[in-house]
Amino acid sequence: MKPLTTFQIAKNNLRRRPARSAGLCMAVAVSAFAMFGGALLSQGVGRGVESMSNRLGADILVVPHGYDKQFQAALLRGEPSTFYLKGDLVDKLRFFPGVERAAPQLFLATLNASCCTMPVQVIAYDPEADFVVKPWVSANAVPTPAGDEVVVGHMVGGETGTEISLFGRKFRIAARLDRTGMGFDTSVFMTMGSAKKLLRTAKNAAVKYEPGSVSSIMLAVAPGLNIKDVANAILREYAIDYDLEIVVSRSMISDIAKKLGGLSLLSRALAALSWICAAAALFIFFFLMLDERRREFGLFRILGAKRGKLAGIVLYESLLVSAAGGILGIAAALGLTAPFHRLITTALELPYLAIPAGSALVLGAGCLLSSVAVGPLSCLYSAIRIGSGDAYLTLRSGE
Amino acid sequence: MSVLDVRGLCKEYVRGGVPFRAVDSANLRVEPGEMVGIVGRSGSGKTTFFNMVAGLLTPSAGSVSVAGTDILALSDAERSELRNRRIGYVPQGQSLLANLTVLDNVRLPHYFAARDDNVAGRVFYLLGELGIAHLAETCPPQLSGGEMRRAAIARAMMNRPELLLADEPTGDLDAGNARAAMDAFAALAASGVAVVFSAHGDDAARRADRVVEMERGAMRERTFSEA
Ligand SMILES: Nc1ncnc2c1ncn2[C@@H]1O[C@H](COP(=O)(O)OP(=O)(O)OP(=O)(O)O)[C@@H](O)[C@H]1O
Ligand SMILES: [Mg+2]
Repeated sequence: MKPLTTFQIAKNNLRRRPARSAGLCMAVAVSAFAMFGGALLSQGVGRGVESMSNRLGADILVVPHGYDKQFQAALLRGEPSTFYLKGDLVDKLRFFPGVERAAPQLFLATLNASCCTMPVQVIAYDPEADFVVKPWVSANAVPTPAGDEVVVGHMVGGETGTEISLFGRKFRIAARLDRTGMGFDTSVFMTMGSAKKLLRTAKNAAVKYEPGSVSSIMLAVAPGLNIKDVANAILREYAIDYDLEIVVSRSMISDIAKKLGGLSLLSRALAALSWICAAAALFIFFFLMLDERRREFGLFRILGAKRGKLAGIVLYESLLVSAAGGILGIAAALGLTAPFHRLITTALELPYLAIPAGSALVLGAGCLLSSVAVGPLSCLYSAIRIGSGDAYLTLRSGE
Repeated sequence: MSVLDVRGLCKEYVRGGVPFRAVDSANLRVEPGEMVGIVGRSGSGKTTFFNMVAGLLTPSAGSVSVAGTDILALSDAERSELRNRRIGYVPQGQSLLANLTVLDNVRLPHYFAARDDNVAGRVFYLLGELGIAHLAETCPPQLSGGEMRRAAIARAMMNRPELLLADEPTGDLDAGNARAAMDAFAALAASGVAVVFSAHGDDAARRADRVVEMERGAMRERTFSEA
């Protein structure tokens, strides 16, 4: 025979009022969910922004006029798209005063790669001029992909050395980028040469390509120069002839950082608000329950329960409710942010890098702790009230 | 030494602005093994008396000593402990906890005593004594009034009290169940426990060694010639 424990008594009491217990549990779950989910999301975006601003070597991004949004979408989220600038612009910009380096990219959208369930963006680049892709390969050497080789983003399937099929042709995976949190994660990189060859033989009608053109040009400005000035000079010179548009990456990043600030503020406010709501719900429910349970507690007193014991039972009940709710909410946050962070960050146009498992664990433990604490904290007052007054009177008013 | 010694016990309430005594200068001594019946009409103060004796209600005047201990001198925690260890109380009416099984109801006093000895044997012995062993896993809403009362009696006996208080234990029972309850008290008294019970009428009181009459809060010992 199992001994009678406070746990069992508390559990039985909760079970007797299933709807109320479930409701309280849900209130805590929502709070834990908001707390943990919000933290996971905003910290993930924070990491994404940080790594992007650390490693995105380009100061100025040149794209066709009207395509800045699409380019950002492709850069940040890997949304496949195609758009073109006339190719001779690359050399003009390479020698433009104040520009140190210029790296062209050609975006080829493909939906039928063998590797992936998600759409893959094929980006052709110039390994010689590149300073954009390279920083994302932590293994110090990025092998320059040969004609039938590609460098793949972190989330593109297939081991290094194996083959992947794009536009009906097979390519060998030469290297894999680190996780970027941006569109690069679902992109495949190849040389301009192989891209052009591919386009000539491609039977993919979706790809319309004007020979010699590129999609975007990333520029590094010489140290010490004002990036805005250089950008303006380029606009003055080529905006009309080449119908181009300029994105200054620093202001793009600071826009993103602003959004991140808003996101984390919002998530914190939501977490705090839902915590307070959960605490208020628990406080009110336990307080109202006191009246209803006078008789029960009076009986406990008759059987020789000390005041502390009654308080203990009530605290235990609230602890069970909040622990169950906390675990539920955190599990839900984990279960939902993992698959849906892409959807959410896409909607918000933000880069996202999942925080390491260790940090997530610590964060989860912290959120769990503050969710679990909400129960006992909010019913402390009721717990103290229970034992006060004559036990008999307590019993009588409940009769 | 008396198990129970009550002297000059009073409880004053104010009703409609007028003070009145629900219990008025009650005296009662009960020795080990004695069975005392308190007979009185509804509202005569029986429950109020029991509650003061059990230390659940603070008297307006007088003293209560249980097994030589003045319960009014004790702290709340000490009084709870004394109630838990030395007093078994069968409250008036239905007093089982609806969300606990009969088994758990009966061992609640042991749980509150915070001892971790194994009591399975004692619980089933008591349930057997009272003829409800087959209902151990049943919850109170599925029991009859008589079965609930027997479970409450078993619960009161759980911690081997020296004093058993039973407030109208046969009030709502049929003759058969009432007899079974009184048999249990008689057996308990025979084992040395002091039993004090209350009743409306004389039927149950016949089983008592002594009968005390209660009228408007005052207690009067009934002499043999009256009985
Ligand atoms: N908390 C209270 N405040 C005011 N009056 C009370 C209170 N409790 C009891 N009384 C009154 O004290 C008197 C005695 O009540 P008590 O419950 O002791 O009677 P009783 O003999 O147990 O009656 P019954 O046989 O119906 O159970 C009654 O008149 C009752 O109305
Ligand atoms: Mg009564």
